[in-house]
Amino acid sequence: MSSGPLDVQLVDVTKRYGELDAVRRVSLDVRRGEFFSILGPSGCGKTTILRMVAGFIEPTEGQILIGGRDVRGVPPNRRPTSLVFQHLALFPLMNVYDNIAFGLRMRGEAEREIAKRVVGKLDLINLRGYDRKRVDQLSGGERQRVAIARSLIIEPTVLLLDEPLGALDLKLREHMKEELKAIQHRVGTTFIYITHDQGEALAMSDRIAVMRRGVFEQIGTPADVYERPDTPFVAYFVGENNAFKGTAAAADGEMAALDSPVGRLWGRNPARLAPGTRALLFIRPEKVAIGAGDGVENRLHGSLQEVYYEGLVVRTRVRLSEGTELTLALPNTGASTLPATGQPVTVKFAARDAYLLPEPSA
Amino acid sequence: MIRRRNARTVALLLLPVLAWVLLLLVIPQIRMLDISLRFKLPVDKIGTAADVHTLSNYLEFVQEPLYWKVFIKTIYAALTITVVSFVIAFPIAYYLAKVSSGSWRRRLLVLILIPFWVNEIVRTFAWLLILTEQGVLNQALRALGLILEPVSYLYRDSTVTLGMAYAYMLFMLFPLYAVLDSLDFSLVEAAQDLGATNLRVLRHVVLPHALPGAIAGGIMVFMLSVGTYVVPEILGGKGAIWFVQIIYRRFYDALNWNLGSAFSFTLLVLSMAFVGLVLRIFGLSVRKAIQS
Repeated sequence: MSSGPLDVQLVDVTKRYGELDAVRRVSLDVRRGEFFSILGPSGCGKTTILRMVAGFIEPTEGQILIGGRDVRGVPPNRRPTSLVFQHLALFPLMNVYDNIAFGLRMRGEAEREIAKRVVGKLDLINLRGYDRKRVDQLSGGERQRVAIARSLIIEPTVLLLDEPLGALDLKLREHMKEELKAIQHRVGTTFIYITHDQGEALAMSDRIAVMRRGVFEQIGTPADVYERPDTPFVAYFVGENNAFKGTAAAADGEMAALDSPVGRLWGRNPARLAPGTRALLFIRPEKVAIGAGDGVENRLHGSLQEVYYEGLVVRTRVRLSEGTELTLALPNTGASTLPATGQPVTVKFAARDAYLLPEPSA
Repeated sequence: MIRRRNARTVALLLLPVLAWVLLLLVIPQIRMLDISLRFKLPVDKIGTAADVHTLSNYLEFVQEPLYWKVFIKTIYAALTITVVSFVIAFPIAYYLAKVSSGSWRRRLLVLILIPFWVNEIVRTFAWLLILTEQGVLNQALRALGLILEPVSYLYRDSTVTLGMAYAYMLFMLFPLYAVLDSLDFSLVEAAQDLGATNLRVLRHVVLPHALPGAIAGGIMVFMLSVGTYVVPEILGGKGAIWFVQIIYRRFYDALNWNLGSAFSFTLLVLSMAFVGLVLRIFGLSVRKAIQS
C-alpha cells in the first residue's frame, strides 16, 4: 500500500461559500486500489470534497487529478468516478436490472453485452435472480448492494461512497461493513468512503483522513489515527479517550511527564512539547488496568463508580481522589474480579500507551 | 379518522355541498338531458300530447358532416393546446421546483399568479391589444424594422391555440410543479454521475417522474379547452368556429334549446370518452413502467 500509482490527487483544494471556507487547502493522494476514508463530524466539509471529486461542484482554488488528469471543467457524466449516494438514489420507476444497466445504456452498449455484465454484477453482490424486482421490494441491505453494483458497472477509476451505511440498523451495518470490504477486495477498485462513524472508518479503511472544519487534522492508517493521534481532536473523535489537563514537565527523549492535578503522569511526547507548555495527556479506556503491579509507570488511586456490563467489555468509571473521573474498558474474561462499587481501587497504565498533545487554544 | 359521535356533525357539514351539487349540477343536468330528448315546439305546444321523447336532435348531429368536422377540429385543437401548454409549463415548473428556492421561488409564484386574478375575458382582450394590426407586437416589429406592413395575427387558429394555452396555463403548471417538487434531486445527479447527458436525464428520470402530473394537468387543460367559449369568440373571429360556439348559437341565436342541449351532451360524452381512452393508454404504460 505504500507505493503504486495515484488514482485521485487533491492539490491545495479550497471551496469557499461566500465568507465561509467549507474546505480549506486540502491535499490528498489516494493510491490505486486503496480503501480511503474521510472521517469527520457532520458539516466538516467531507461531503463537499466528495462532490468536488464527482464533479457536481468545482473547487474555488486548487487542482483535482483523477488518474493523473486534471478534471477541472469536466462534468460528472464525463468523469471516471461513480458516486454511491447517501440515500442511494436508486431509480424508483426502474427494476433492479434497469437500475444496474443504466450506466451502460447511457454509454450505448449493446443490450447483449449489458445483460452479460448486469448478471455478473448481480453475482458479485449475491443478488442473482433479483433482476425483475422493483426497488421498493428490496430490503435496506439489498438496495445498498444494488446501488454499489449500479455504480461499479461503469468501471469507474474511483468509487465514491457518501455515508451509504447511515440509514441501516446496527446489525445490518456491521454485516455491510464486511460485505463492502469484500466487494472492494474482489473488484480492486479504489474506494473513497465518507463517514462520521469512526467504527466504520477503522474497520474498513486502508487509510483514514480525519477532518474538522474544512481541514485534514491527520491522514494515516487506522492504527496511526487510533494509537498515534496528531491532535487532541483526533484523540477525542476517534474512539474513546481519557484526558488529563496539566503542564508538560520533564522530558526524557521520547517520553515526557505531565504535572496534573492527580500528580505526575508519564507518556509519549510525539509533539516534542517543551517543559512548561499547557498540555493534555490521553489514555484509552482499554489501556488502563485495575490493580497494583510492577513495571507500569502511572499509578492512580480512586474509588470504583458505576459498572456497565456491555458483553464484549465491562465498562467502569473510577473516581480519582482529586475528583476527576477515568473511564475503563476491561476485557470480559469471564471471571468477575471486580471489587464492589465504592471500593477503593488502584488503576495503572503504561507510559508507552499514553501520550501528550498540546492543549488546544480554542 | 371519524368517530361515530362525530358522524352527525360531518353529515351536517357536508349538507351544503350536497345541496350545491344536487341543485346546481345534478337537477339542471337531468333537465337538460330531458330537453335534449324532445322536439323544439312552440310555447303553447309544450307539455301537450305532441311533446314526446325523441332522438332526432342527436341524429341531427350524427347526420350533419359539418358538425363532425367542427367537433373533430375542436378535439384536435384542444389536444394541441394541451401539448403546447405542457411544453410551455414544463420548463417553468422545473425551474420553480428544482432551480429556484426560498423567497425567490415564492415571489415567482406570486408573479405567475397575479395575471390570473384578472378575469379570463379581460385577459383575452389583452391579447387582442397585443396582436391586433395596430397592436403592441406589430408596432414593436415595425419599429425594429423587421416588418414593413402590419401583419394580422388575429382570427387564426394558431392565435386561438396560443391564447387558450395561456388561459389554462396554471392548470398545467401546478400539477407539474407538485410532482417535480417531489422529485429527489439526487436521482438527477445519480443519472448524470452514471454518464447521462442532460437530455437523457430528462428522458429517463425527470419525465417519467412527472408523468402523473402531466396527465392530471393535461386532463384539466383538455377539458377546459374543449368547453371554452370566450377565447375562440374573441381571438378567433368569424372564421374559426369551435364546437361550443355552435352550441351557443343553437341556444341564443336559433333559440333551439333542444338541439343545443343535445350538442352539449354529445360534446360532454365524447370528450370524456376521449380522455378515458388517452388515460387508458397512459395508465397502462404507467403501470407497466412500475411493474417492469
